[in-house]
Amino acid sequence: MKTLRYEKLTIYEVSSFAKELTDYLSDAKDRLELDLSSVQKIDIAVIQLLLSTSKSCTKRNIIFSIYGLNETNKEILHLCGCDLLLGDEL
Amino acid sequence: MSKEIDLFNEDVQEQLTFMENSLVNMQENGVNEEDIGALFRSMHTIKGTAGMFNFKDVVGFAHIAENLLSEVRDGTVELTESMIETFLLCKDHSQILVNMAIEDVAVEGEIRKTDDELLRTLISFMPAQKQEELQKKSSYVDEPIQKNQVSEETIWHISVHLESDFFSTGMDFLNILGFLKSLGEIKKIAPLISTLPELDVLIPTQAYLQFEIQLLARISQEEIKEVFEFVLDDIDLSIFKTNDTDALSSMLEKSKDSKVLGELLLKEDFFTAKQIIPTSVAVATQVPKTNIKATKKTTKSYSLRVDSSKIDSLINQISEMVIANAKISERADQLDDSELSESAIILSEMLEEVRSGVMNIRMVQVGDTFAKFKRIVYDSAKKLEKDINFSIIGGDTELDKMVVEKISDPIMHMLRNSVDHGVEMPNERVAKGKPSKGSITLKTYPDAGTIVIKISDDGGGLDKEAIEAKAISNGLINEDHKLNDKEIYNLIFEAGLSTAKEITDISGRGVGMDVVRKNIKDLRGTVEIDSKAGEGTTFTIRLPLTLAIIDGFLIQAGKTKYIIPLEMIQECIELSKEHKAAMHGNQFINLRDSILPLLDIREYFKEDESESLRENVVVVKYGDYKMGMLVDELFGEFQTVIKPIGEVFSNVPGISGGTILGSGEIAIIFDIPKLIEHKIRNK
Repeated sequence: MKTLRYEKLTIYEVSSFAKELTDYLSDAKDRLELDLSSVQKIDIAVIQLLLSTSKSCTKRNIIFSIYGLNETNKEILHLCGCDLLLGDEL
Repeated sequence: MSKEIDLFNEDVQEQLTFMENSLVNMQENGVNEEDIGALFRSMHTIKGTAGMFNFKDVVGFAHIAENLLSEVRDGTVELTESMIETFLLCKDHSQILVNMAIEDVAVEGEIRKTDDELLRTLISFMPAQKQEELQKKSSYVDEPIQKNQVSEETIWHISVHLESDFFSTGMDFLNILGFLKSLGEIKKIAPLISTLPELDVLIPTQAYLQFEIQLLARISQEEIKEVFEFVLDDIDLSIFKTNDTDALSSMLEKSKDSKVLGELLLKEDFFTAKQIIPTSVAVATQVPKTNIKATKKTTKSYSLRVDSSKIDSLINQISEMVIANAKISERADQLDDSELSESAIILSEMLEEVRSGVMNIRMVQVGDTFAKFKRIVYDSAKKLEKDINFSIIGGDTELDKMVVEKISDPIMHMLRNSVDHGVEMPNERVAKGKPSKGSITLKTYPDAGTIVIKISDDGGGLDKEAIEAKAISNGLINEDHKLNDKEIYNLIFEAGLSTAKEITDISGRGVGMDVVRKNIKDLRGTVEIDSKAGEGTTFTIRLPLTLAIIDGFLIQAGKTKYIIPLEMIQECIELSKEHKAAMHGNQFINLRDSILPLLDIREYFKEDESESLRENVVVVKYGDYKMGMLVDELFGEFQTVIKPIGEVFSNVPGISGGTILGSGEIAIIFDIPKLIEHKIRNK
């Protein structure tokens, strides 16, 4: 499980976060798990990135899971119809 | 504050100013369609942007105000004088609500009371049946906001494709979705993922997403479109009723990947297979009818908001380049290298162009900011039961935005003073044989490298005796002072001097005029008063056009080099033997039959004896005053970057800053107004 240290994940952080995710993905064997419990706020740019990561994982038969989402972020994902990202937490 | 909130705040301030200007204009010149339209658009924009940030109190309040304005615009409600006043109060209240929303403070207590009262007043202006509908909602905050034009609940399909540069709009799409949710019920929403690139090829700052949304609401197609108003240029938008199969097929036809989109819509139960499939066979016959395709403007707007610190840093960089170029130029002279010297001249001209271009970015017309004073004068006059005609002349004069902002408060204070102490009560004016309506004028114009702002009233003028008496009792001056009228008037800029017989809530507490002068000084400006008993008072503020770089004239006195701001120089003459002989030890010369007071710079700054063979006089002018400055060498024009010279020198009169010459030497920049003042005092 990769624990992220970001307090907020928005368009301003999305490039560096994308780089990290690319590294995680190349190291991942059968699972890519992210702990987002430190993250207070996400925005649409990050949701897009997570959707893209999820898509890449599916193609490589890697299970992609996100943990530790706070209520606000869960609501945000629900609002934009991205419940699939909630995975096990749903 | 986040970047988006900053933008929101700026936008709201702009809209509130538009609103106020329209209202005040209608107060003055009568109700007109253009101002009503502007008023409606401002309220509407505030509601829309606040909605994107989910600022419910702002949205709720703006919604009711907008409703009433919409009635006014449609002509069903007449815009009365008292409504205009209510809207002015609404403007102030919206400002408070916005501030609280930004600071995340809950609206309660007095503010909530004002909120309720204003809403009640707004509703009372509405036609009877609308009143009922609106009054049913005791709380506008927690209920979904619904427009009442459409009575039927409709299921809408909304398809939004974010264009690649969407993120650069600064808008979070989630806020737009949140706002949409407040208008009805989002029955379904699904992102189109199949067209989204995989992680290794995805450019994270670029938008790819497309959302399909089903919304159940009592609103019209136009109103849904308004939700996206601020991003219409950066999205591909389709809105249609779910039973409109023509519109559905048109959307699918236009989609880059209609098959994938059709599959998603089917899979997520947006439409049935029957609704979707015919479109693939009957594509050619489809005519887009009710499908609103967001009308995209053919040209993008080229105005952009830039953080002013970016421009400041650019000006700083250019300033450094000017200094570096001065060094090159000096070196070229030393080496007697004409080619290098020529290049330095070309570079210097180019730098000048770049500099004036950059400075121009900061220039704004003063009229936009000054328009708000109309309301201040109007309100203050009304409170004091005075009748005043206020006019602004020269609103198209351009001035540095920062200077305009900083000069606003001093002007506001002076205007309030003119209303309060200057213009008399109507009966008093009539008794004096003046028209009962007083007048205050705010005039702005450029004059020799400075901007002049004049505030004149036709009131009773300053009471010289009262100022004098007060200054003596306060210990500011002695009884045997030898001050002239102007100097006595200037005493009102001293702290703690208010001659108002009674303190009103508009002015008269004796705080303020000293702050006014300090603020103007901070901008390297000056303020003067001219007053005639019974005729009125004029305040004249002079401000420099630019702040960071000036065109200077390099001179030497004793061993020190000095810079005189070029725009203040009238001419340079040699101090001839004849001049000297005619001086008879006095400190003035005869210049073409007029007396020119002289200030010996070597003496004033205690310079060493000059080794120069000839003495020169630089004639400077500031406002109505002229003075000759006695110096040694004249070197000519020099583009000067003003550098602060530290606290030690901050109280040395006559110095406004320093600059670095190409040789690395320091030159002192004269503060001409101060030197002239010194000369006049010691005449």
